[in-house]
Amino acid sequence: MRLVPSGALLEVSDLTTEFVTGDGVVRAVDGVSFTIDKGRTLGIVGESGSGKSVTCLTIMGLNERRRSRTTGQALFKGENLLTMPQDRLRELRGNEIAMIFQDPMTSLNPVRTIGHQLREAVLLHNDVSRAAAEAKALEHLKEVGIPNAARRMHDYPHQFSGGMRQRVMIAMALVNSPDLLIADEPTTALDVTTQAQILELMKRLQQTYGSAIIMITHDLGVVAEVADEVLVMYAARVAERAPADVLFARPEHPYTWGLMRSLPRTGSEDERLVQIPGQPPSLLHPPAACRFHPRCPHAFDRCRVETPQLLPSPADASHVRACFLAERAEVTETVGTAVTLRRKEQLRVVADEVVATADPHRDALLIVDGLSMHFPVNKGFLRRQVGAVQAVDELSFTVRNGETLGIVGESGCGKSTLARCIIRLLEPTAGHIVFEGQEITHLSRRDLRPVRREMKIVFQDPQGALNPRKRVRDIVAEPLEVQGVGTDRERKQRVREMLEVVGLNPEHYNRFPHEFSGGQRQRIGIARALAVKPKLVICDEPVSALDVSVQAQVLNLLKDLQSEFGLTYIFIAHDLNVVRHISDRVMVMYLGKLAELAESRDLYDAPKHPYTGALLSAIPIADPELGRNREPIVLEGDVPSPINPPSGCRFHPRCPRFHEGVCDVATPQPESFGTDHLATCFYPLEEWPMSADQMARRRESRSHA
Amino acid sequence: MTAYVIRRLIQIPLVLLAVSVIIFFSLRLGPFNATALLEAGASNPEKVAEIRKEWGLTDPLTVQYFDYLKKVVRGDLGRSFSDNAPVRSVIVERLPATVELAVLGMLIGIALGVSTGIASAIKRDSWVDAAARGIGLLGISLPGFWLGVMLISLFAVKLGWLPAGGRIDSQIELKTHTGFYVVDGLIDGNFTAVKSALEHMVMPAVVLGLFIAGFVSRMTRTTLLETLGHDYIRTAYAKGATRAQVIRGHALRNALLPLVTISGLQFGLLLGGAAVAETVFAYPGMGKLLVDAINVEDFPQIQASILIIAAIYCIANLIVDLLYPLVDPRVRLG
Repeated sequence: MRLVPSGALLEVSDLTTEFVTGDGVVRAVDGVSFTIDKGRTLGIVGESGSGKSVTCLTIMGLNERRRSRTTGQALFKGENLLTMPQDRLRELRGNEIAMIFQDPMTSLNPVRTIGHQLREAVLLHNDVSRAAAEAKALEHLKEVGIPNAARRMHDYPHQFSGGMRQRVMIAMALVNSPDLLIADEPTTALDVTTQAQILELMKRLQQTYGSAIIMITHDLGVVAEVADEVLVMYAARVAERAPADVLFARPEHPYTWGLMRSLPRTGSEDERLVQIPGQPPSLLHPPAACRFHPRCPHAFDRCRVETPQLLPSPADASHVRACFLAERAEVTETVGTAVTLRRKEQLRVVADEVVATADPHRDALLIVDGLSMHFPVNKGFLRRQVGAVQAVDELSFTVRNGETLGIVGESGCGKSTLARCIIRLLEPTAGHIVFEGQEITHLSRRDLRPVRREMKIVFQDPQGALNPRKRVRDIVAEPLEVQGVGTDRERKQRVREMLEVVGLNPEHYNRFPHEFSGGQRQRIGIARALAVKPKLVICDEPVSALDVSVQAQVLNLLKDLQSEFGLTYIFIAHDLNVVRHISDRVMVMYLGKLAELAESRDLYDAPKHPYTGALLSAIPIADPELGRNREPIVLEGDVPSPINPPSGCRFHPRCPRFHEGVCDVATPQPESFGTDHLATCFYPLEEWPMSADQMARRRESRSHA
Repeated sequence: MTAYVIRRLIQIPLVLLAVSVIIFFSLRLGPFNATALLEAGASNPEKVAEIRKEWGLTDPLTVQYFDYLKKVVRGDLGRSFSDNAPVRSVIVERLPATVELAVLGMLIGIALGVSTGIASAIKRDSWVDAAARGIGLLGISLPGFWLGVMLISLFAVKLGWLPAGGRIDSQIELKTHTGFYVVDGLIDGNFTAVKSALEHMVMPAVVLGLFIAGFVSRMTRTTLLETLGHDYIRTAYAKGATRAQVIRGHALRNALLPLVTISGLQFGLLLGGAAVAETVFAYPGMGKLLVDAINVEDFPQIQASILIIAAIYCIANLIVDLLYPLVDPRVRLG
């Protein structure tokens, strides 16, 4: 259907992209249509394989031409991007339409200075002198907030932190003032506080340049905060499209609803998350008719034979969705009500009931006392030690029997190192670890063997954690063999039990890891950890590498197993919502030190440490109304290096409450705030929520006291 | 960085020490009779024993070795068994010839290899790619001596375009400053000399170069293809660059990094391969010197030549390693 070009900046209609692969033709984008106007933001949400990235790569003409076939239209200011000559397309790329990508480390050329790469962006489209290009590049570098910009023009990408690199990418994209900026998961690879910085930067720049932004992401929170309109994609097709407010208030496609309900959020701790069964389909052989029907709890016969079209909702013409269920008016009400209830919960500031989940008098399973892990740095001719990476420094806490202790922190905070110390993959340089009353800090490998039966770990990367050359049954049986548990037959029986418990079928026992999906591999990892029936399970970012809809499955599974087997968990993650959902108590780490430790609800409702406050406020909220009106506390700068940590309180260079002469000189010790709430700060927060200004102002008044 | 350089510089004499021990002892313990020593027709066993005693070959091995070591440290590499001339002066004469040849061979090999590698990568799976890979395979597999002989019979004998052997036309007068004939010729503006030297070097250099080109071509193809799959290439296209700009400005720089590393190793290969090429072309370099010395079992000549070749190899690799951080800013030495 040919569209008559209207005033819209970009009009995409019926875009379809196919790739010819060794296994057949994959239709990565199937009949996608949307428009975007000047200065507006469109969010494209979807999981792996949804086609969100390929849609934008197709628009930019960045697919490998030999192996891809595209049909449809993409009118940019009236010109069809898909049919225009390559020269014309090149004129537009980087000039009027710019794109930034997910991983800024690999997206910048490692052997060229960033000054060179910025200049290149200018010189490709402007016939100016090198000096003029340099000046323009410098101007933009300053604008995105790179300190010492003039000097840093001569630096290479690896000399910048992740957040800084992404700023450089943004500068490079905006240097020619494009009308449209496409951002493909720009903050996924970044810490949550850095993400807050980058999102704020993008909002500000959008106002300055008036660019339209297409934001591709899997994070509904980010979308709620920045998007005017949202496109939900599933299996290469558009499932739903609506203005952001409308979509979050009244999602009408079961997939969207499932996505929103499967996110851990405020108030979800006591429930099982709504999980979407199965995983996103392969695009080689997608399901017939409605692509979502195999996973849809509401699917009926029509869904299996007829493909639903994108039709407007009776409630709002700008809201379209492709679902037969949604066309049945009475169901719309039900979906809507559930979501409204959730919003009310989010608006609750302080919980009315305090559910005592962690009894401080329950016995301690694990005691960590003054733990330090310093890695030596050797330089010079004789390899002398010149310093140390203080990955963990004088950390003390307890883990009680049967509870889940969540550990949160950003990159470099030491949480993974801590996990490895506890499980004795590393030998701590100082301090004590006492497990079940036994000091295990310096035990030999032989003496550790019985201990290792009671303490297991589940890793982050389900692919890397399983030996690709072993069959599943051998992987799960390995700990049993090592520990000498039972006879051959008993072991086989136990393996079968464990695989069933984690939800895998008997036919899976003889398969290899590569034959499974990410979520299934993680289940295998969990089965392996639980095979010997340990007391303590350390989960190191177990769901970070999984799609959102699969995360909920694994989280529910972990919770179920905990109650069934009486397990104690240490749950390490950077996603605060996930940690809140599953933990009884939460510990916040910063640069190897303990910042705060409290019962989950207390921590999230009334944090004491300014860093915890900043972390909490940086989490994007999956609710446009709440999201837009808040002022997140955006920290300055990056997390410093653990080789040279700041003096005194390690957080002081970035703290809105910094008191000179106190915070940079003395090291704060953990202080108690009511039952079971520790915080390491000289000037803890008096109330919550607080904005950065309030934190600073209160600081002033206290210093005069 | 200085710590690194110092460490590497200390390693070199240690390596050379080990090499000298191995060569020295294997020559004397192996089935070698130092036949070069024997004057023509000397079949009298007493005469032979006397000559051997004169040359110190009857002393205990360790004594022999330390004597040798003491002299080497002072710069005295011994005297040739064949003509009693100081080994060092012969080497000084012959070494520049081999280095010149090796350098020219490297240049030809890299130029040929990189260009065919790039063509292969860009036109992947086309006939260009197949042809380049085929030629590369030939280059690695064809025996150098056979190729040399073929080249001589075609270009020297049949067509008469190039000389069949030697280093330079014997009629030409050339003042040697550095020992590198091309350089010396250029210094004096003696272009006839330069032309003649190059004419003599071309064929052996091509033989060496083709061998190198095979490796380099395959490697360039692989690394370039891999590099082209990296994210920053996509970023460059997204900025609006043409394919030529992307390859020149982004892909090549990254793809050729491994080339720098292996050049050090290749230089070593060339030093070895030079022996074959020089023998076929009667080119008076170190390679031929070594081969001739081995044929007559001239111990001092063999020891010295191998030591010198080993030293050059170590230094070449050190230079390459030191150069690496200049081309890859992510790498820090030490």
